[in-house]
Amino acid sequence: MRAVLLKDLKVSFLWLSGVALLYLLTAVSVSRSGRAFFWLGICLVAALVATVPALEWRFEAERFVCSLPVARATVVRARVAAALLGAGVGLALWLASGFAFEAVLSRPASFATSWASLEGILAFCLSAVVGIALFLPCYFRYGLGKGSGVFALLAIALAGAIVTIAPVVIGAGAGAWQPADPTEVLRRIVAGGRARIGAPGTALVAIAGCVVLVWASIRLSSAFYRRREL
Amino acid sequence: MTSGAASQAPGAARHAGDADPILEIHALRKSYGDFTLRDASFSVPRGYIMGLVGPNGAGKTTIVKLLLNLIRRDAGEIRVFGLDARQEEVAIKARIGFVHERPAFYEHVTVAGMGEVAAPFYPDWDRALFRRLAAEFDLPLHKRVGALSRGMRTKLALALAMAHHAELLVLDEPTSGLDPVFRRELLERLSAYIQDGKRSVLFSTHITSDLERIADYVTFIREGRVMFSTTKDQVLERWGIVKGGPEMLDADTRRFFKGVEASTVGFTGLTDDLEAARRRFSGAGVVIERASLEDIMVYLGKGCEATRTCERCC
Repeated sequence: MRAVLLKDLKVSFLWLSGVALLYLLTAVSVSRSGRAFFWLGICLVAALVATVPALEWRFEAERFVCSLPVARATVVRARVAAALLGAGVGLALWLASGFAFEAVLSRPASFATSWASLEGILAFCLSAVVGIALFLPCYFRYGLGKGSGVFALLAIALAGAIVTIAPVVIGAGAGAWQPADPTEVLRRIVAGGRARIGAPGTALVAIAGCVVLVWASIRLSSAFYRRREL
Repeated sequence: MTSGAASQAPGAARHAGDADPILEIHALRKSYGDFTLRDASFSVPRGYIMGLVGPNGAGKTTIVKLLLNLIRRDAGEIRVFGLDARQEEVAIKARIGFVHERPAFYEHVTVAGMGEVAAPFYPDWDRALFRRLAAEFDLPLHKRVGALSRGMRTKLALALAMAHHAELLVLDEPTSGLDPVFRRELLERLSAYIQDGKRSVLFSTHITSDLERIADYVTFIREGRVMFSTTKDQVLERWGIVKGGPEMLDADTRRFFKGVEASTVGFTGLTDDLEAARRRFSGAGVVIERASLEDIMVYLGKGCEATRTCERCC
């Protein structure tokens, strides 16, 4: 797995740096809205995660990689590890830029209290992990082109389901609560958990959920990739 | 390095070099939409070059892809170094060097960078050898792969394949896209590569002159079937071309051949038994000559549907 990770880093380092720079440039203007800034952070993670698959797709290098002495299951595990690392880097960059912009530009408004809170960070992590867990099996099954299309459809369906079902499940008795996007739902779920089992308990439950999701994603991705013909 | 092998029965696929095979393929089957690789069987002995020859679409690349587990086989067995190619994939690939038909790399990476990319995957990677090969192949180490011509990419693929002291080189159409000078140099290099008797080369091509120059064994594949697998010398000794007038080409004569091309002025027939052809057509005013691999590729199976001899040669 180390060899695959090293290879991914070598071939994508410049591109990843470019993605980070592009994020920072975009973030200046997007930081006016806390929600838009949140989604820009998620887009940053998506770009970091998709960079290596995009390079392999663009240069048709997958056949080369799979001809090297590495099992496909190892490629999957390495890609998942790289994706989680990308999510971590994305979160760090998002938090750092959020704090910096708030200090210098006074925006996003109340970033430290509202978005850099347990609710905001867990919502960010859950969104990123769900996205990664959903994207990778699609990518390994269909390749980047068709896989991205299938992922987009699934993501839209999932977001729609969350936004539609959440008011019924969570918002019962809360009046006419209508979530603007899944982020709001996630933040409310985290807030509810915090009220019931405390912050550490909520974090643990979220981490456990992420582990299960990632494990399922690895299993599914490995099965798909083993069957994929290159 | 060419050695003898058991004589072959007409139309039968047979195994070349049964002693100490480095690669054994048995009853390999793979179906796509309109193509089926049918029970391909052959073996590559250690210390020899095996040419996998056949027209475009015959199934050569399919065999190479199956060997590297890039596609899944429907049935059959592949053993490399005595190990199952699926179960021991990583261990086997660490000892194999490969060159794909259209080598694809990360185009923004330099030649030297590709060496650095591949190195961690191979326990026996030899950095100095890679640099030496790059120099010998005139590959500029600091040039981006995207700026290389097709021939230069093939050279890079060869350098990557050889730089970890691979015991088996699997080359899929490596000479297409190469200039004649380097093509000849490559063939000489491949001949030298196996001289220690421990390494082998599986060389897929439709450029038959390359095989005539260096191959010890030839596996001929056509429409997904292995037609024969034997020593090159045996092929060149036994297969022949018979050219005669149109009046000689009756149904019985047609059946004698593995393939016939007929016109109003005469016929050209392909036989896998040159001696029998000489006995049969002696004094009949025909021209009999040895068949080249290209002759076999061109004439094998030609016109056989009309004479219902497909079960013999197809």
